[in-house]
Amino acid sequence: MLTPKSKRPFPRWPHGMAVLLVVATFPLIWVGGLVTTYDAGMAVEDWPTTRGYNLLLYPWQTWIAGPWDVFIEHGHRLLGFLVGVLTITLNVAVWLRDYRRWMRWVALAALGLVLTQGILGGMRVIQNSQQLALIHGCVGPLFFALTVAIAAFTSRWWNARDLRLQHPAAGKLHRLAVLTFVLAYVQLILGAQLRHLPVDASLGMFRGVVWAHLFFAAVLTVYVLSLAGRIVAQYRRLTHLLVPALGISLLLLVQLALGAATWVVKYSWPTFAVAWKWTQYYTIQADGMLQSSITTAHVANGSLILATAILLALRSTRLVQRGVVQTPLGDGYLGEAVA
Amino acid sequence: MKFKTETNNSCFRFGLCLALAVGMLGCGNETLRFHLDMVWIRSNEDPEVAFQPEQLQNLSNVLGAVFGTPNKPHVLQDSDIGVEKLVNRDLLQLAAGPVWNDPQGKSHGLYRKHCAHCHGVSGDGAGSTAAYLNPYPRDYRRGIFKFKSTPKGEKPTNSDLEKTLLEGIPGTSMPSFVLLPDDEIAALVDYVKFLSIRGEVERNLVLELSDLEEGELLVSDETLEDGKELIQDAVSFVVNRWSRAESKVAIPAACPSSADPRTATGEEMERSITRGYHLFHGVIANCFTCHGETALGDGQLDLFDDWTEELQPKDPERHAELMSLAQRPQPARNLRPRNLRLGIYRGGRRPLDIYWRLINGIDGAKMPQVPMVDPNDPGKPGMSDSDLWDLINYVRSLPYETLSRPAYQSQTDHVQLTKPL
Repeated sequence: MLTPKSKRPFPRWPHGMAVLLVVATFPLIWVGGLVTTYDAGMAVEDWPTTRGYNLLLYPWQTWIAGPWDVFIEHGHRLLGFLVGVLTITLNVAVWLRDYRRWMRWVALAALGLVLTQGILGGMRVIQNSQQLALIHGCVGPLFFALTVAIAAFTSRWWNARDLRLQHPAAGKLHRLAVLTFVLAYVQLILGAQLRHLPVDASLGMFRGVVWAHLFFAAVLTVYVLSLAGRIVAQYRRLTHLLVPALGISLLLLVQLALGAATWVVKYSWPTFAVAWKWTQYYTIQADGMLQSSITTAHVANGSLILATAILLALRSTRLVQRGVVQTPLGDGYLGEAVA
Repeated sequence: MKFKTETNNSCFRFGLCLALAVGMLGCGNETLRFHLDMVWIRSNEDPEVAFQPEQLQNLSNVLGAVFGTPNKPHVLQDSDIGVEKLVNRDLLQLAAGPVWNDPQGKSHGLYRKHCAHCHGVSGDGAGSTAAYLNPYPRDYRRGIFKFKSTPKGEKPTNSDLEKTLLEGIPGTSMPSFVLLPDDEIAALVDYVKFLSIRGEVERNLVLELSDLEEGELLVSDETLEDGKELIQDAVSFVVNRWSRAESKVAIPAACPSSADPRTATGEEMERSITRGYHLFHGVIANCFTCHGETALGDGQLDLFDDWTEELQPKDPERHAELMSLAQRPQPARNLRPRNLRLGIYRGGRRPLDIYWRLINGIDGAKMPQVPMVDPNDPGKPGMSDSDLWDLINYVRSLPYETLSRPAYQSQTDHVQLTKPL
């Protein structure tokens, strides 16, 4: 096992690969969001080939200089391929250098998920199916969250001994963090549902999903702020918790603003805003830079919130455990954690 | 839409399970159909003897035979009717059906990609987002379009529809599609015309149906042979009106140099605006009645547009039923006359656009055509071409006019201005 007792050197390769995977996956999520924003999922009508070419042999001049929807769809496929290769490399690294059995299974799960995601994306094209596009849109952020978790599992601090801080209210922190992650994912699913609404969806369905999305936005806001508040109040010396807690709060505020802006750039100002004369000057531009960037940023930022939430859930369970407060702890690293 | 369930069964099943796990599975749309105009049907059936389901199914079959389905629309191939001259078959296929790109890179399913979520698959203005939009998305099926160069009661030209698509409508949810290539705009224009023609033909056939005996079918033969004449009449009536649109465009009268901002002196423009001010408050143009004394759009506020008016029978129960069928939330929205001081004109801000709004009126929105002087009846009160340009100058000056300018206080003042300066 990877503990100081084992006297094995800390393997940097798996963690490095995991971080690289996280860094590569985020643009993939972003470009995937862009594909949905421009409804470009069917811009290339075949899969796994691209217009008859092997994915990697599609003429780059045609790709770069071609239509915008083909550019982003093929770019999404290439990024997906890159992420797949990186996931395989991560598996090699973990199986060779990380001796934790469960970690190997987690890495394999990531590989399984990325392959499933690729197949879902492909089947969405072959069957021109909005349902599969919806599922593809929901699995992507889940994979992103898993890559962040793997980066956490393979990090040096995760493997360090005596990290745990005893705290009587640790259970509440764990519950709050895990529920925040779950809520963030439910909210993301609702958002994906709105973006992949069937063309013949009823007014009631749209209304229901919109209100559910708004309701869960409010609930998630309460949970994120409660979690951040608890961490600031009780664990502010744990920078591994404090930084993501402040980060998720900031991301949430940005997300709320982006959500409101998304509505405006897609459907114009709501009825109550008609009284503000300046709202009447705005003309929506379909597929314009403002519309597409705000809408896609809302999607991508949602994934960042999900990733930060899982980081908080994992770190809180790793760093804090239920028990009587003990100070100082271990190497003194957490000795002043409790205010 | 392709659905190869036999070859990709396991993968699809996995997808379904995953979707069920998250509890959010959308509905499929492989069997999309154009919906019948149930508001019009209910409004035109005898309250005591409703149309039989077989009659409505027959009506649906007839419409399906003539116009096809949202996935495979077609136009009637009949040289006597001439739909194919109005609607290009290739463009129609480009706009219809699911969203995909062909190997040549041409985008298909343009209507679903850009329009259907608001205007609905049938063009009934009841897409999934409609309830949240203000104003509601247009229902094309009445064949009424607001912003056009042709007089009230006439159809818009292709250019009118293109202009709305390219410029969008400020202050509403109707976006500008200026980034779309020309052929895609043309395809959307043709598809909107197709939906509108289909909708109007349906309305005409419902009127025919209401004249039949209880339970009698519109067309008894599946091949439509025995109803050919009826269908031809219903379609050609609508098509003829669309065909003559180009010839009905209102050609603007020459603007006198003293009222033309490009040539008039400051003093001349001031006089033109003052004349327009008096016309605005006079009883001939009668603008103040709806737009208000101060032109803030606060005049008559209790009117409904034509689409909403159709949902307003006197019987409250029937009203509720029609509102529900039209998928419009209660209470019905009243028309809001434009606040002319904003400087935003939904049909366009060019002098020509305002000229068309005044001389043509606005279909469906209770904005009448201004009465013009009739050379054959000199005694009849009306406006001259020069008056019209003065009024346009005044309307265009309103965003810059101070609200403290004295307004007309009484009806007597308005009456006195029957003959303005």
